Amino acid sequence: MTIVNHLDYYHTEIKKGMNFMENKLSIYTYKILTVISYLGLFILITLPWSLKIFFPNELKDGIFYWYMMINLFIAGSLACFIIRELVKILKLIVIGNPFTYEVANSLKTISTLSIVIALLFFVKCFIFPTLYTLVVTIVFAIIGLMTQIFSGLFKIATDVKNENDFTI
Amino acid sequence: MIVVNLDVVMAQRKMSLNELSQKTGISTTNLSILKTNKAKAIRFSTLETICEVLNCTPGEIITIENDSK
Repeated sequence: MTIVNHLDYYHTEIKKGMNFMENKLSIYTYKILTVISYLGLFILITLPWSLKIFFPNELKDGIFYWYMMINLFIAGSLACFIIRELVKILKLIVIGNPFTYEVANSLKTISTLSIVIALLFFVKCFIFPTLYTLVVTIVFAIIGLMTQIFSGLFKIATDVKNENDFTI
Repeated sequence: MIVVNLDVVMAQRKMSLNELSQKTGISTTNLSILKTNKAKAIRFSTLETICEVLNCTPGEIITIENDSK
């Protein structure tokens, strides 16, 4: 009985340590995400001016300028929504309850938004082709597919967790 | 539909949830889940412990009822 108690004690202590580390990591990630979201909002607001600064030669033509403006504005807004969903997931991790349908739904939203961004840049590949556009398209398409898979995985994990929780 | 009649057996034995929890070592939360039919599964070991403490058979605790839909 005492051995079992000791094992239980160590198991709890290890779990506490792991939770602390996970929480610390999550808190740092949360801070980074907050900074990124503010930075993203700043870039979105200053887009009309920053575009002219970053692409002084390419955007002489008015149509390209407006196309880039709209394209980047939509993509930026969607990226902000992605960060919001990530913050939601992180909050659930910090609470210690990551296996919920909420996380699965958030991941699915991230997947949809990423695929929309990938499509936006895919169209841009034909209108204003650059290597950067191609890379962004591929990266966001992969993120979209990956989060779709993870969403399914989290749904199954939540089902298993619920079943395990209600097995007495 | 499988129904857990733990509350009926407990009432027959005049045993409270806390007493059963102390004697079986199963938490009151888990016993409450069992009692309110929220449980999705029950381990043989848990069933055995409850039956030993309540001095009954598994058939008295778990019964099957027809769905009246």
